Amino acid sequence: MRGPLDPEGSGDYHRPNQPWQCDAETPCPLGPTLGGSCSHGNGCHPKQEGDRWLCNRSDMRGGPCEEGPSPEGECCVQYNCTPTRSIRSRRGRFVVGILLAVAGGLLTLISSSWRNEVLAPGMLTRPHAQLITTGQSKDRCINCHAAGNASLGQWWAHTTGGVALQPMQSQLCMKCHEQTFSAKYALAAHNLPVASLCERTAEKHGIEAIGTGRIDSRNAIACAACHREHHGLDHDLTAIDSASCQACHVEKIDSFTTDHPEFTGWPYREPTRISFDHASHSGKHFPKEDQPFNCQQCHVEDQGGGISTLGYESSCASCHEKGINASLSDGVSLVSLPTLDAETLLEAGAEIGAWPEDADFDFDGQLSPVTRLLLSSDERALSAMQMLGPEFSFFDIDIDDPQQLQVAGDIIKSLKQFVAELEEKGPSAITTRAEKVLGRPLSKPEAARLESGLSQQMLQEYRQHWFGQRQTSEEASPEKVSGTWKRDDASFALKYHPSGHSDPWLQGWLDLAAEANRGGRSVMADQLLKEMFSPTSPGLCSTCHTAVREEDRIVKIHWRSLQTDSRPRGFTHFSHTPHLTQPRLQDCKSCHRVSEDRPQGEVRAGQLQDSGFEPLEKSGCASCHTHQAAGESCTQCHHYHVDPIGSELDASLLLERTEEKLSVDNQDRFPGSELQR
Amino acid sequence: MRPFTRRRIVNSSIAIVAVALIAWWVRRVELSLGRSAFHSGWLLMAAMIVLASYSLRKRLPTLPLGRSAWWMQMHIYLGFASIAIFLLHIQWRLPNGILETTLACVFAATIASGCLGLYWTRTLPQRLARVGEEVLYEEIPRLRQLIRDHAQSTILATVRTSGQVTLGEYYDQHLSSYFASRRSWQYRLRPTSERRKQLMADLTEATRYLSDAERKTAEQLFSLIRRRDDLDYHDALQWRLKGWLFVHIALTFPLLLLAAFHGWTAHLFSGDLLLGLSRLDYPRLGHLGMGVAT
Repeated sequence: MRGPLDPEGSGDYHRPNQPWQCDAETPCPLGPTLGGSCSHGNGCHPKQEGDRWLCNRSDMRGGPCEEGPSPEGECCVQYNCTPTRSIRSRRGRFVVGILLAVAGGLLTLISSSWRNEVLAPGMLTRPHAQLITTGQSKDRCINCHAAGNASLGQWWAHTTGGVALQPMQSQLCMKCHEQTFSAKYALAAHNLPVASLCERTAEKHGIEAIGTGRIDSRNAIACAACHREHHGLDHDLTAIDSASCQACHVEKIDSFTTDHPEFTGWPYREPTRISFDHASHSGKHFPKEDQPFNCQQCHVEDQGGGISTLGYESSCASCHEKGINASLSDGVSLVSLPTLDAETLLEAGAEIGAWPEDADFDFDGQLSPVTRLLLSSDERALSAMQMLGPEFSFFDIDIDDPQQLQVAGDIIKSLKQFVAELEEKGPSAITTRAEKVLGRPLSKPEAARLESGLSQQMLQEYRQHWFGQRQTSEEASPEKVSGTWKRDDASFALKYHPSGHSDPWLQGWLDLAAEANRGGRSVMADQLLKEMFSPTSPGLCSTCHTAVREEDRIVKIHWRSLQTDSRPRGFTHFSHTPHLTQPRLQDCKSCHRVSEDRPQGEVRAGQLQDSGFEPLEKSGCASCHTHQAAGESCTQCHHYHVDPIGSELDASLLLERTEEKLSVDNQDRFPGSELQR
Repeated sequence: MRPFTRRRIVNSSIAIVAVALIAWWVRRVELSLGRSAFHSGWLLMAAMIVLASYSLRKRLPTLPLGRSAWWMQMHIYLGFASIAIFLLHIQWRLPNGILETTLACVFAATIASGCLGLYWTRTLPQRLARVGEEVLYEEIPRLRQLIRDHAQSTILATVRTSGQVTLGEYYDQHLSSYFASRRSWQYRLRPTSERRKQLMADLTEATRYLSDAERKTAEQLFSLIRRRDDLDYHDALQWRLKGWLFVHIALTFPLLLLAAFHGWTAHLFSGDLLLGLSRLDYPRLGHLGMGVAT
């Protein structure tokens, strides 16, 4: 065992926690001052004995020195050094230096023009990156971040709680995505009104389940909650874990096969736009006509991966054309005159002026529904018609009731005024009154549909025939035809004879009445629809065309079947294309089985409630849609972002959308116009 | 089971359970449409502050802040846990922004220096203990000088007493530079005994030309060469033990500063300083024309 290098040691205790160290070969016992200067200590404090100074250095420090103190009593050992910083002190200074450099760098950075470039946390996804590429980084950042354009002072003001950075990020998202979502529901769960969502949840689960998940779905959900940016060019912004759905949805679904509820009627649950009972057609009508019932006759695969329905001409006309044309043979009255007893009216104080002799004998006849609707634009006539009831007939006028006679007189006067307007202004009188009924201006196509080739000459002839100087020479033909308009002298009417299926005039008036059904003239509008949109009405429209109803009133009529490319986003989506690659599924009947034991579809509220198919079963999908095979994530079949109309939640939303659209259209066409609804 | 092993198992278990709980929480926040990055970020920030406060604890030995050994254990295991929290925070993706990449690199360097320091503090003292004598790092320059003086005085005494200069010349040509100079950086980074062996082999070779008196002195030189080499070995290893802290601590505080800056700007750019911890709801959007219309 070797001995120590320095058995005696230096005699000094090193203190590494001190900022300064003695750099002398033989350090002094005092060490440097805190300020880093040498303390210039002595080896000893000489002791005077008589006239001599004696060294009193202890043995621990080397014992008395050879030289001894000076005659003046000073120690011969004078410590002198240039102190150096200890390692700890040097380390501290190094750390502080680095820290100051970093702090300085950051301050420089946030004050510089390339601040945002450095702060940007990574590449944007490709769809955003290709749009937000112009200009400097600062300009790019402000597309999505209010902070990107804020000064350092604004940052600080925001941090200390004074000023919010506006606009909010979701608002900035909506700047570009305003076409995709309604701003009103942009941050609502599924972009739907909470009330509708609650209603649907309660209906589906029988409980008020909304808001009982991990988060309260009644609160706003920002775009960034699901769509996370700055994860690189190829990051999928729409990818979301199925478990995230259960943030709101309390019903836990781990596996499609075992946990997903049965389809309960999907996709046949909702009434279709065109009432077509596959069961009765397949089991009864087609065999009767000795025709094969093939799906491809009416349905084709479209580019969007859906199955579209072919139009009337290809699918329905061969059987239904004859019946429709027969129902239209009598035409539809634009205006007609009732018969009445003008003398009785005069006695009751209802002065109606001239009235055609042929129609002056007794109270009978009805105003045409179109006339009633147009007369409702006149407040006096409207109140008179409301008093007699929407279905009133002049046959029901009580001649002993002066009030009824007075009211009937008001209606007649209003009718005469309308006929005079038609003569004077021509078809534009119809448009003017229709606009009053709707409370909004009509677009040119809408007006054209309501007029449908009606000429002013035709209207003048009509009025002059019944109210003007009757020319005997004109009596030759009681059936003067002007296009598809005819004067029917037997019923004192001016009639329109629709051209057949899809007649624009008929559609125009039905659409106008459906829209008016939500306004102040709904009584007359509803009556028009009852008379002109019933299974026996001219055109038999309601036999196949369904309508949206609100409080049992028709507010919109579906004229076309729903095409997949124009279908609003619902909760569930399905693309046929990937499925049709399987030979087994190329036969439509492998999934869509027509009910054989139900030859007639259930009709409720005037609409066919199902299409005549057996319900789809989950097992049909679950055979392939497993985690290991075709996948079973929620978003494979379900949309989060739902079009309020597609969700079939609330018909009023459809109307709201229509209103919005019309409002925009009208503002374009009639700048500054104010709708008086 | 040895107490040391038991301590490791217990502390590791606590760290693993804590990380598992944090991972579960982060997953839960993510599935609740929350921004887990804010949660994990704040947690990571808190962990880094606690880790950095160990340095403060060492500066305040008089305050009753718990034993330094306990702090050390917490520092080690919290450091390892912070790696997991960091990975959860970046969601296992490599950051690609300038600030984020810089921050990630500084974090990685801090962790790496910490791990290296841990390895060195666990292994180097054992290697130093095997050398024999304990030497204070601050004393090494003085002891080097002592060995050199001792070697020179021994040689001079031998020359004086024996009148032989062979060993003196040999010392002047081959050994004086060894005793006078410091070892190279290469040796500090990778200390080896090659030079010592070389010098001793050469001296052994030279003894055939020495007188008996010089041989006795040569024996002392053998011992001094070995001692000088041991001292250099101490210097190299203790320099490592001092040096890694330069890197580790010098990275820690800039890391805290960068992390705080990153957190601040992340909140600023996400829209609101407080809403980052929620689902970024904007109840105020109602009067701005957005929100949840009922």
